[in-house]
Amino acid sequence: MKDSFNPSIEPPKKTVTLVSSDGYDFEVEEEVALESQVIKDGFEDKAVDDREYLLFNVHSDTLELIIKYCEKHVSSRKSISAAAASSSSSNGEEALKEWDEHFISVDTNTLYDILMAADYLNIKSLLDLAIQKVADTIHGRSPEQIRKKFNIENDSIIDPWASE
Amino acid sequence: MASTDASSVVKKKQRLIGGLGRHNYSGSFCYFDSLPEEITLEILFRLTAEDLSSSKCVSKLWSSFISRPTFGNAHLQRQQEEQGIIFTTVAKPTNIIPNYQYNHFSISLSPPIPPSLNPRKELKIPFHKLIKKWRTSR
Repeated sequence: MKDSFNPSIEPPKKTVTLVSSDGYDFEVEEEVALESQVIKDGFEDKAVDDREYLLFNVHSDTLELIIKYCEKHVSSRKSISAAAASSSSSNGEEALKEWDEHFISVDTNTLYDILMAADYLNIKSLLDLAIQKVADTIHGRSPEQIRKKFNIENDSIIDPWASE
Repeated sequence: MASTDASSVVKKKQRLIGGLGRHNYSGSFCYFDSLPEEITLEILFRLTAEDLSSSKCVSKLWSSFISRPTFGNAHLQRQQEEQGIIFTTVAKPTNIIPNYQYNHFSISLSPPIPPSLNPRKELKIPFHKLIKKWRTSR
């Protein structure tokens, strides 16, 4: 029986289907999808052939970014632990940090979408990254600049403590 | 590792034309004042005392978050290992000054706080003079 298989072909990895709010299917590896705490919770209760998740709040453009992030983190974690096991020196964590920095350097609208999606899917490290990016963007800006940057309406015209 | 960066890893085909019927947009609806409260708070917790003072003038909502009596404490906890803390003194209205008076102080935690708890810096709120300065300097 075994002879009929080509030994160089790996067994197919288990996949999960994620459906974006605008109706696109994304087939991702199980371990990538499990980066999301929401998917992880109750994952075992779902039948293997029913591993499909409808993500009502995540647009396909955003989902593509999210999946990219999760894939990168899963693969980096593997190579970091592999390097640690063989006790060879590795700058994997440093490289991942740099990758994250590059990943989150997006326009404000995309940052907002990533924030909402990371919150919805409960991907803690990504939420953390996005929140830190917002905080860093606020740093050193005037109220007017912050409003402009983040599309916040100015409703605080009346200053209750103004002495005039 | 480089192969995982390729976006071709992601399989994409539109199956449900018209989508799932909700939030069928991307990008154009970005209002940071409509973020869930816990996210906004998390952002504000990470700001320095100086940044909080300008954030306070951004919108009524942000101002209300920062003005909460519990905010200073929570901010202190979050920043303990980091650069500093903020605290607020409140003076009740008097005959002379009819409004509540708020004073915000920041303390640097490195080096550690001296036992006397001397404020290192007083942050004057409202910052209308400073804002005026910003406006005129532009």
